[in-house]
Amino acid sequence: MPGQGDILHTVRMLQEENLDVRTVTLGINLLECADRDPKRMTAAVRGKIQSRAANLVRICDELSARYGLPIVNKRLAISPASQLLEGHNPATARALGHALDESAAAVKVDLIGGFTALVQKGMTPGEQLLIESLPEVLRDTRRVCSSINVATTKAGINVDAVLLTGRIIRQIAEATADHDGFGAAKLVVFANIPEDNPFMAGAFLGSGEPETVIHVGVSGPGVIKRAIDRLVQLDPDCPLDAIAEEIKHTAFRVTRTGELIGREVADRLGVPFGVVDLSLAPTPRVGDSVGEIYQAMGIRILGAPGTTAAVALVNDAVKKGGAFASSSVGGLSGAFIPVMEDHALAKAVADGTLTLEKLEAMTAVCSVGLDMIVLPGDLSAETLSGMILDEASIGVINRKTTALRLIPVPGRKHGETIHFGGLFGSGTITSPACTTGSEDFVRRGGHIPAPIQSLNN
Amino acid sequence: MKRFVINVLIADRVGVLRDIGSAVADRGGNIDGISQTVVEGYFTVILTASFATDDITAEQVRQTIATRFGPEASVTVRDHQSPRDPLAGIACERYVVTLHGPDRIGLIKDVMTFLSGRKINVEDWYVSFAGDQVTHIGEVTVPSRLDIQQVQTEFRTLLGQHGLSCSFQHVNLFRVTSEVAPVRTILSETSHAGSR
Repeated sequence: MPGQGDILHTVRMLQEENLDVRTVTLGINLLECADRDPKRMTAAVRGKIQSRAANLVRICDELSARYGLPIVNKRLAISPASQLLEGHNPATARALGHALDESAAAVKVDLIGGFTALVQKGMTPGEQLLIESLPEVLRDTRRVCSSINVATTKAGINVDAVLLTGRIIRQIAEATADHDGFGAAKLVVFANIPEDNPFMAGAFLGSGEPETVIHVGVSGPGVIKRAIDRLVQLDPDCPLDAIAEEIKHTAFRVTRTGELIGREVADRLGVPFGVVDLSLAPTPRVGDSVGEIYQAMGIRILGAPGTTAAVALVNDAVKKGGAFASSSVGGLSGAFIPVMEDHALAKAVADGTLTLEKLEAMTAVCSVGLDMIVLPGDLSAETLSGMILDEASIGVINRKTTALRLIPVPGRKHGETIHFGGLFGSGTITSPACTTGSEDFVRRGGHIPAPIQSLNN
Repeated sequence: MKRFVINVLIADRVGVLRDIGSAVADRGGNIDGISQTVVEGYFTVILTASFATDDITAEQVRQTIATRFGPEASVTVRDHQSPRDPLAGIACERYVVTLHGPDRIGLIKDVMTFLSGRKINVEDWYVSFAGDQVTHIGEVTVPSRLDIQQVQTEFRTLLGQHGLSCSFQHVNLFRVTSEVAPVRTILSETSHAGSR
């Protein structure tokens, strides 16, 4: 039997510190469903999803009981839907969105990702069609999530795609204005999009992935925070390297629970196991916050100088713990800073201590980017595009993933509070310190070349 | 060749196991199984020992050990007979049970009645106290035919009415979070040891 201390430690992580498996995501390749006939194509999509994912939720529920470990979300990620839309028209894009939404509902998953276009170097007609269909698709569906990759370190940044995306984000927000632009929360704009990310809204099945595969997203900010609390209680003057060590050890345990669940789900479904994505993904609950981790480390006011260093320390320690725990770590694996989904970050933004510019700096050292940011509804498409370009540049130059979920809220202004509810939380509308002035630069379009791969200082 | 099961209970002190080991060795026996612990200052051990000769009795072994300790030790020795596995031939899986909360008379009786009523066999059980709070940790063997969700729900109901929190989770969860062996290896070991 494992040691008594180890047993009680694990039980405490589950009962008191909100450890859970945030998502088990089944990737499904839909390329074989491509057909010039829209009806045949959408029928094939429904058939394949409903056959491959029929047992996903039941198996996850069985394993959740076996281990007494909550599996919060069961989700699907498909190969890029844009590949099914080549040669089709907007009506087919809408029909495909509905087919995905209804198939996800039929197998009882809450979200399906992969309404995706990879346009970092150029845009095919199918990709353009997908992007232009987003206002209607994200308005008319509940479960469909979308992502657009506009840049990679190898390809540079497709500024034309960024411009189009800026306009589309505004259109999505306007199309869902009666829900405060919520549709835009289901679109992630990426640089260096990972092909095996299980977290929504950015999950999709990359071209290097198997026909079907299980990826698992484990969270656990509460576990990390409590581990730091205990360490600081024992030694109030403990140095930062001791905190990093504590985070690393805790991340090991968290990662292992994810791999355990992932391998068993994959085995029972008869599909390969892919990766554990160890990302500290907060929820709006107190005790499940990434911001609280930084506070436990001594950043009393989030956004104060030193916050970026705290993010870097946590992100690196989490990766190190995860890498030792499993050779199957992938996806984003680090710390998310989705403002609306984290009560401590949301409060710091409301208090004005955590600005968009500081958040952008933090994204240079964390696992994602400007995530779940509510913005004034009158922010121009060019300004949104400028924000995307800045964030993409951080990712491209630093050879890492960066991403944005920007939600311009129609009719609302800086300082107003927006409630989406549930896991999406609530937040205060913020805006860049300077909201205009880059239009001429952004409108030039074209392409920002890939960065030089030497002379790295 | 003779094999015995030996149990010794004595107030703990340094060298108890040395004295038992010396007594068994002096008689030509080899200790080939052992489980020892100290509870509230009392040392207890159960062990098996094999002797090359048939010309030795359980009483002779008991006397040899008892002589080392005097009257303060309780020593029991009996012939080893391969006991019947209580769950032989039944597909089983190992779970870890924990419960924590206020202690009361009859708690162990209630828990064990619950487990045995479902043919769940206790393999290991530890209890520790902190003030009026008690923590139990046990490893149990659960027949695979049981609906584990139902067992967990009924267990929570039983203990919840007395203000105790509890968990009932597959042992692999604890193995993967406390061992450094690859998860794949731990799962493989479990699948090979699925029934007994």
